[in-house]
Amino acid sequence: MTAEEGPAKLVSIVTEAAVETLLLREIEAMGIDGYTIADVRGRGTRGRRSGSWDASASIRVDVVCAPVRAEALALRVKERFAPGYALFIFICDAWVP
Amino acid sequence: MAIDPVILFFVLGVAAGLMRSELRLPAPVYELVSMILLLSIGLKGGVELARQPALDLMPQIAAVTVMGIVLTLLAFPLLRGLGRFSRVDAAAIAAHYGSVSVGTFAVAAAYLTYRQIGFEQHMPLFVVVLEIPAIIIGVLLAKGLGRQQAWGRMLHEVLCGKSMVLLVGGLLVGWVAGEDGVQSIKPLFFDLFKGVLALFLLEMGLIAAGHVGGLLRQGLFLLGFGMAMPLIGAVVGTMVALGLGLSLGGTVLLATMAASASYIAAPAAFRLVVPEAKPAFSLATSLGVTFPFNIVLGIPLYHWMAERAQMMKGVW
Repeated sequence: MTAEEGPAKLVSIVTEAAVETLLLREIEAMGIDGYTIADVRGRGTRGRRSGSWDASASIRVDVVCAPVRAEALALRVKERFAPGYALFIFICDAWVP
Repeated sequence: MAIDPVILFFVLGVAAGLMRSELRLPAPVYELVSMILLLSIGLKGGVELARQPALDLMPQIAAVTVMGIVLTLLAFPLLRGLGRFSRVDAAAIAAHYGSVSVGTFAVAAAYLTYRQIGFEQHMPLFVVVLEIPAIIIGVLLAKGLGRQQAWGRMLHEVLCGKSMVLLVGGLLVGWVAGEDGVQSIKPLFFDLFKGVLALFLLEMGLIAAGHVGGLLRQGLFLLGFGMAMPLIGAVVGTMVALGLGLSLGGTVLLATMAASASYIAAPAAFRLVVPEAKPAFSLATSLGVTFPFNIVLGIPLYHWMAERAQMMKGVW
């Protein structure tokens, strides 16, 4: 990932697979060029996301970056996608060895 | 009359879903199964296209395009007026019903083959054609003109969506390779078709059962609409088929296409371009009501209707 060695933040974005391309474009536009994507399933305020087919497929995008960028990224993604899509973001401490 | 076993797989899926069984097709398997279905439908159509000049089909392509637009414009006021849906939700549901379900088409084609009723083999081309106009009209109804960025994204989503790429890709491969060329891939795409369809329907049954709860929450209107709109579509489709001079099998297929509601291309496009439209409405109706209705009751009914219509046409 793009974070320098030492303390960093892990931003995890859980959202609908349908917006993957748009979301990655948004992340890359912030100058972040490293991320990890996983296909996930689960349950949230928008109901159960079984992940078994297109409309119920969810992804989790993990980005490790400097703390200042983490907050900016989370806000930007929330502003852009929270109104229309199932979205959950959390940030936690990370360490890049 | 014996029930086609693939339908029983669908019933099994619904039953397992309603019983909250742990059964689920792993996502990559579902992806593979739908890929094989889309490609084999495309390939069969493409092989047929290689036999006849494509230009002869232009009037039929135009008629099917108009049919997609008409179906969307018929559904929209019903949803707005009777269903009291918001503009965006009515437009999204209408677009699903103007567009087409490849799974339903596959079941109808299998139904006809099972009964040894012939049909025009270029019908898959109409699936491709019918998929597009309703989505464009639906987005227009939801958003009006303007917002150029959204239009570019929508066209990309509709034209480069995976169902479109696989169907059109299959058509082109079949067209270029021709009948002899596709012999080498026949065991996977043609011989295994029914088995793959059975697996696909098993998963569709599970998905349909998952939408029953949502449907009950949305009220009775969508339940009624999900069965009434296919009947309206089937009548329109039958009339268009008669006008185009299609065979009995072709008439059943076009009626089924018109009766079916999209659950791949339309939801994907609307999710991206009109995120404020609630997918719960359109998917619960198209998957929870219309898909089961069409494959269990609709297709035999459209067959009966096509027979009567062809007879009446013969009399006139």
